[in-house]
Amino acid sequence: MSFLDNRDIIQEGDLVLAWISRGDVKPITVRKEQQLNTRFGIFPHNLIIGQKFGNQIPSVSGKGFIHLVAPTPELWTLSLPHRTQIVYTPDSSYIVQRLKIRPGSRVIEAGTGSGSFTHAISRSVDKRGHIFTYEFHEPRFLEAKKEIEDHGLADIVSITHRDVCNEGFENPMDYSGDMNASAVFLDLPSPWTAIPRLKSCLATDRVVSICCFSPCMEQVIKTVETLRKEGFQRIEMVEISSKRWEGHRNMVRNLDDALQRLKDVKERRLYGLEIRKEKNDAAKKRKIEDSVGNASHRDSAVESSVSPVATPSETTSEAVLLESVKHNSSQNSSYKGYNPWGRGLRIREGDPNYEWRSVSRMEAEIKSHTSYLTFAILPPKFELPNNE
Amino acid sequence: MTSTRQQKQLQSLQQQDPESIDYSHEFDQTHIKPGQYVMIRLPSENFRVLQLHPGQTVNLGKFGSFKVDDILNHPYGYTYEIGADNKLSIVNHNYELDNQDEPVSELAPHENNRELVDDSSVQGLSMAEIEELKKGGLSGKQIIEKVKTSHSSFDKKTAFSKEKYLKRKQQKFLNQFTPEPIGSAELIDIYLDKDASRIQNMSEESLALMLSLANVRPGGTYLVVDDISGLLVGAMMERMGGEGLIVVAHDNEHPNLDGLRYMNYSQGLIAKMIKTVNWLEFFEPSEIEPFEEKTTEELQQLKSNQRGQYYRRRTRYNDSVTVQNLISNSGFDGLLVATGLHLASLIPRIIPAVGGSRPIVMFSETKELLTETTLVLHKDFRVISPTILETRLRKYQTLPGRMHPHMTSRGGGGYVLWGIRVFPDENANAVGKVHRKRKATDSGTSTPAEE
Repeated sequence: MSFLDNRDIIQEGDLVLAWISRGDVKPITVRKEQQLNTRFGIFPHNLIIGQKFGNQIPSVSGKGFIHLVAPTPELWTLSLPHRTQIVYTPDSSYIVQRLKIRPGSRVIEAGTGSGSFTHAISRSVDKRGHIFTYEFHEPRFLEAKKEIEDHGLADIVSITHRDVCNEGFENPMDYSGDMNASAVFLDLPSPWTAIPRLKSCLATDRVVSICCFSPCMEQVIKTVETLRKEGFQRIEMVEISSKRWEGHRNMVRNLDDALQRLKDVKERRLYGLEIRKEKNDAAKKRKIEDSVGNASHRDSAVESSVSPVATPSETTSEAVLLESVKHNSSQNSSYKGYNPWGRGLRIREGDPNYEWRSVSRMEAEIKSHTSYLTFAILPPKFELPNNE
Repeated sequence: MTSTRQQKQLQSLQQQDPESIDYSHEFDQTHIKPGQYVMIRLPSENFRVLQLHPGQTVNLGKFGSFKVDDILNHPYGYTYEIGADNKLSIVNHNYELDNQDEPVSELAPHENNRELVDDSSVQGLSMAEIEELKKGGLSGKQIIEKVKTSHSSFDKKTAFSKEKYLKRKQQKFLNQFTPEPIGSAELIDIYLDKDASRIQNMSEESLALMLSLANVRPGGTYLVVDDISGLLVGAMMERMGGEGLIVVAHDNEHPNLDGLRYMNYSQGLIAKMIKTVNWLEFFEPSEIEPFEEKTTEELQQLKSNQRGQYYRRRTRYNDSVTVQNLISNSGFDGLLVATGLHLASLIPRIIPAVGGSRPIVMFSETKELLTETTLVLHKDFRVISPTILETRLRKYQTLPGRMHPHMTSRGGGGYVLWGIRVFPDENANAVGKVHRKRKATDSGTSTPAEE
């Protein structure tokens, strides 16, 4: 499936994302007689062809499973081969919105990089619009060009191998006619060298919007200066920060349960101490009796005094405590005391025997800074209104 | 004779047929057109929303008045200054800019506000005197110049402080305005200004994230729950450019898509792109009344109002059939939800309408409601990877030498839940459970746990 159609059934030649987990999404082009090998098993492409997008399929052994997911620019961003630092979805979605990239838009992008933003905007401009993208690094250019063709985007994306900072944007490869761009996205190390070269490629009858994507403040300052000099207005720098959260369940541990448990522990400890005391007394007695004999007996005596194995006893206090423990154990032979929260047991999150609250947890590592986004507009070329 | 008459008749027939009209021009927001709603941005950073009628004069209060005809058919993007007799001049035509207004980017080492006394005594002009000057026909710039020269300690200010002072005066006295087309971004501004709860406090970045994650594009068919005054639907129409279908499910007799009118879409376009279905029709469809197509000849026999009625009935019939088919055949390319209904119980019931591998995206002002929903979806194997995303914009004061984040910004903005609709394999999840327990010893063959 190309990025631009909406089919339901997987055909030979389609790009399919084999979804193992969110962190493990494998893009595959489905070809007869090929197979996908994962640590969850083998998935022959023959079994993938004809499946519905979205189906979960078993491996040959039937033990592992994957989902067959259709590519979208966002999923592609998760799975694509990184050639450079990429523009992630929270940034790219905001840039598309702010540059008003819509069906029919004509967009300049430099550099192409890994092509993740190219994919995102190609969905929006549609066949009515056009994208002019530039990449100065030849291997990256060749890979991106192949990707654009393989993904069915060649009609709307013209990719040019060029250093726009030195050679400008005019006369893109595989395109003839006016460029008339109304949106510009510059993800370059020095956008201020490229901005002065833009004008001849921009539409003059409408507002042109620009976004420069730079990680460093020093770059922003130079960019802002140049934008001013070139007549851009409403210059504004912003930053997007995004976080991912996951739903979890947190066990409700009430104070009353804690008190109850402490009482139980105390009771049991008391019982344990009594037993231990009895045992110690008995041991002491024995020690005295044995003191005349072998000294090596002492160690074993101490050891037995802490051993949990109860020795039969006939004292009354112990009999009462024994009674209470027996009572608690009567329901469950493996009773280990009052345990309201399953301490020491392996409890699955959401186990219906316990009470839970839903909570959200942030991902372990967040992207606290991607890049600064500097936006500006260029007003239409001024012509004296002739309606006066 | 007769053939031309017939041709004309046929033409008028086609004109009446709502399905044969091309609406793509409605998405062209490059020029100011008569009858449109526009946003007028003012120097004070406030705005006005108004519909532009030819011949009208618009009063912008202290900023002056202008004639609508003076801006009609101009491209958007200009800032106008209101001069004497309400004459307009374009002030931001610095396509070839002179560098006079170049802002200072650094303070000289001796510059500080040590000597500065700043209370009301420093201003020599009274409010009444300023009003007199205004009445005397002085322009905003001239008044600012007067205010500046009669400020006794203006020269003691630092360069930065002078600039800030002048900016404040400009916001007050400049007779300027900037018309802007109303798109989804402006619609958010309008509602945040009016009553943020009507769009559930949604931020532009959250809206943008939803549109991208839901893969909204021309030609798509989407199921939408929009209880935010049509903001979501309007933004989708922008991205779809007139191609595709939006089915709006709602819990009233009619959906509330009030905001759409500001976006200048015609009734025809709205009727073509948006179909509505209430939840009762959605879950318990009544039988669709049969409908008989008429031939062209039969149509020609009908009176004009009968034909209109015929087309309306046909539209109603076609819409019902289309919507019911989409619902029962998992026909939607995406689900987008911003509703007041309880998500955790609503979403599982509408999942079947969504096609395989299609995105499910919902918005909530509070994270808790989405957390609850992800937990329900975790157990529901029809959605993989339900994730809550939070995206926040931070704006900077973008002035050379004084770059820093703004001291305050708007709170809220909401959260987005994103998942992908899939068709689970019956055996997979049963097996999955067994393997999950075995995972510690045998991770090689275990099924990845549903996230």
